[in-house]
Amino acid sequence: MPVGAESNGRSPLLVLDGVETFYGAIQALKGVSFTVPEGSIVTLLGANGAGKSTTLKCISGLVPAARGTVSFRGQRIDGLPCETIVRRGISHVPEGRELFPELTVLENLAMGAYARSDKRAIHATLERVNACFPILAERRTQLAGTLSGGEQQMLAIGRALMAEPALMLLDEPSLGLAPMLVEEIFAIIRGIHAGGTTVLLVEQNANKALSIADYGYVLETGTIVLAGDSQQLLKDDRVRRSYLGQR
Amino acid sequence: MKRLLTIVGLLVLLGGVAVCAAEDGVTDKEVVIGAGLDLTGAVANWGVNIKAGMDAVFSRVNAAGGVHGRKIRLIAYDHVYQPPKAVTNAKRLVERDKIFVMMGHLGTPTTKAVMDYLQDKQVPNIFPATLASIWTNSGKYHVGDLATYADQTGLIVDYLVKERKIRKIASFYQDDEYGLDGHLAGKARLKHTHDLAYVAEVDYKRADIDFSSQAAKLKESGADAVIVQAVYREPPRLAEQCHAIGYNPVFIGPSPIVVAKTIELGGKHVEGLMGVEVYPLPTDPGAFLDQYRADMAKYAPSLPIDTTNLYGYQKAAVFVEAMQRAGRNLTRDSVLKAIESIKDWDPGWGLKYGYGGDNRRGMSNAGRLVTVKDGKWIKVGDWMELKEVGRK
Amino acid sequence: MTEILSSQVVSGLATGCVYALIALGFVLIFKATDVVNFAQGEFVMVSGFISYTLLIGLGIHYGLVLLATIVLSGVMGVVLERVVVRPIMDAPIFSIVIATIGASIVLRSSAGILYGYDVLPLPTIFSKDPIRVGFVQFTAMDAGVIGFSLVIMVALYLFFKLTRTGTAMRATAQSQTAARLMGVSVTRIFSLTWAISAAIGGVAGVLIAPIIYLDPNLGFIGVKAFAGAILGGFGSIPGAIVGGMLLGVIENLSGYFFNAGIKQVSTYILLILVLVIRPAGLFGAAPIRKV
Repeated sequence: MPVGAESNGRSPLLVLDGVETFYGAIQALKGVSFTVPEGSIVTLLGANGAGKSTTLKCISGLVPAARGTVSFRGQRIDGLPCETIVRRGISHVPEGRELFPELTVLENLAMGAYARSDKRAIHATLERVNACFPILAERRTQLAGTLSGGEQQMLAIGRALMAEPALMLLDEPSLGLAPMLVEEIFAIIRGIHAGGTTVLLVEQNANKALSIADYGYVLETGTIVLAGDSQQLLKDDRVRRSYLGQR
Repeated sequence: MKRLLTIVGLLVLLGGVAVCAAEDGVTDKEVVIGAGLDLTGAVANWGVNIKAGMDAVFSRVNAAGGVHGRKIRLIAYDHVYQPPKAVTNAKRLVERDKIFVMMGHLGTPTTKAVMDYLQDKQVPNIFPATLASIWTNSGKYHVGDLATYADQTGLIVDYLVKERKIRKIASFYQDDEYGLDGHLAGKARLKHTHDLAYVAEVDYKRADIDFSSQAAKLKESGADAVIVQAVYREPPRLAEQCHAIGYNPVFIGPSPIVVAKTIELGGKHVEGLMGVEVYPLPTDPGAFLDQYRADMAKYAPSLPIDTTNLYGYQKAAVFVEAMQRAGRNLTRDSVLKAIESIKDWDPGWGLKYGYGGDNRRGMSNAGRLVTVKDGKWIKVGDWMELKEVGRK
Repeated sequence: MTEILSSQVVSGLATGCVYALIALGFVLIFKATDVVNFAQGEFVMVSGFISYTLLIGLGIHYGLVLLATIVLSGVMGVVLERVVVRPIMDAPIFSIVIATIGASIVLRSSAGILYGYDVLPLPTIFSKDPIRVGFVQFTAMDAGVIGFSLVIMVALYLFFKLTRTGTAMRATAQSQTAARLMGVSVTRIFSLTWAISAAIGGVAGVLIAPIIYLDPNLGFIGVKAFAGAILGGFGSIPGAIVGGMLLGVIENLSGYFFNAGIKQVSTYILLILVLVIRPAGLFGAAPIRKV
């Protein structure tokens, strides 16, 4: 049975139940179960190699789940191809951003809305993304590969927003950014959440992640070992020792 | 152990018997003949048709019981007009298939590549499908059959200078043993007989497909006639590309261009193209040609009659005559001697074959000029005995 | 002198345009799938035979034949990808390349078995009679080849630049992962890439076969086009176009200034020179690869 936050009264948007995956012979996930309530920010914590990115890839369909189920809005999505899952309302901002470096900023954003067909609605989203990231509007004809790290991260997030997702999966959005930019990115995530998008956030910066999240899960070698309210987790000894660098 | 010895002994015995038996490729019931042809490459039109022509003769002869009780079996391999492949094929034919003779081996560069090998193995190279001068003066194992490219080019040069009063003549030639034969002979003929020289000498490589630079050079030379030492692909393309830059000289070349394919490819651009013919047109009258047309209709109904298959056909017909003359005791020596015995022999088309003497093994040295008119090859002059023209 | 030289350049450009079209096919597939498709030249040959059959065998109008040939070539590209490449997509690139070489041999032999190895003249609507503009002399055929090639290139450019699918194809070439996350079906894009490459090859076939005649070995023109693509910087689309055109012109001029032997090797001399001076080719940049 998935552990976690459904007891809180909000209905679950995403439910993982006993998900297992393999990279060749190596088992990366050994039965991951958790829920993401609608309208929440949920963070996945864990050391390098614990399986955080793999969990996100399992949700978005980049990596198939060998066992277990992934349900979104009550429907099974495990086994569906990526291109179908994105159409159901899940956007994945992958680790390392995976921009299209030789496409312009505007083309990258347009690709974000590839799964949608209503031109007027897409245009409205673009206006909103531009308002949210004025720098992207400014650089719209520039090639994505020529942007700075922070701008690239904004573009990656903006591109994911173009799909108008119900759930956004963010994988290490602050990685490699200067502290000031990290602040900005977290402010943006808060803004996205405020706009009504549910967020599942994988972060190395556990302190920051828990400070904006409603719930947190701790992943260790392919299984969830700890779950709870982010305020609780911030106070948890194991979390403090292992992920917050405190003694 | 004893059994093993017996087997080995038997094998040795059998081997001994095989050595004692007649020539390679000859049994009581069969003669095996080899050919290396281009069946899929740049001159495949020639290869496919030569094979069909030879097959037609052999099929008719076999149907009538063969030659002195022996059926003729032709084994042909594809050398794609590439000398290295020709060598591999020749080794396969001689060493594995144990052919009696090589016949109708196609292409000057390809046949030159197997020349020494056949010589070493003492396998006669009968009537190769190349009329380079080399086959008329390379000793007893190489037997050319018709007027050489060199001799044909002599006819071309004399015609251009004497009859057409053209003094500015250029040469467009395939840069290999084939193209050089006529090219050098033409050069020698111009110099020694007419005190002239080519105004341009322009080469191309086998399987080249674009001649725009050659066309430009020929135009710049101001030549009024261009001798094309080429096969059937090149004259149409060259003519087209010359016409494209507003240059319209007389194009004339030796026998390999005189095929229907040249006209099919060139259309109106080859109207007026001239060539030399060393055996009759497939549409000419005559008992031999009637037989040819009947055999082709029977044994190769899918192929139209054409100079290409008539070429193979007449080779096979003359060779069958030689085997008849050689008698039941068929050896490589006896068949070579039989070929030498053919003198003033007319298979039935008004063209006489004869062995040409110690240092010259051509069978016929006749030639005449032809031209393309209204999409057909027609004759311009009468048969004449071509002079021997050297390459120097 | 200038008159003849300019004619040489124009006719070289015509051949070069055909090289460029074939080179484009190589580059498109390579960019999208990392596969060098050595059956690219065979698209040219097969399309030649398709149009020959439609024109001579069935007597269909030239315009329709052109259209049908392009479409059928595209279908052939899709089939080749489905049958030969996709089943082994997870195999090392080397194996896939060998598979494309195998496919090219099969196509060549099939054409030989069906049509024989004889050269055939493919009719064209363009005349081979001379046209004179100023001091430059060329044929309607040359002009037609150049014009038609340019139209195809511009159309391709607009497709890739302006359409949603075109942008998705470029995106897929840059990051398959991200493209999938955007909702792009990568397998569909691969099929489409092969279809477009084969269709361009088909155009090249219809343009070149009337000039250099049609036979099962026509596909070997792909080797020259491949050299053109490398010259321009393999993987660069403008590089493929410029490389191909340059090759056509250089070939012609080297034949004019030197002889057939030099002409034959000029391609490769040029190629080696360029690669020594600029290893990535004329337009090639160090490849952008994300880890």
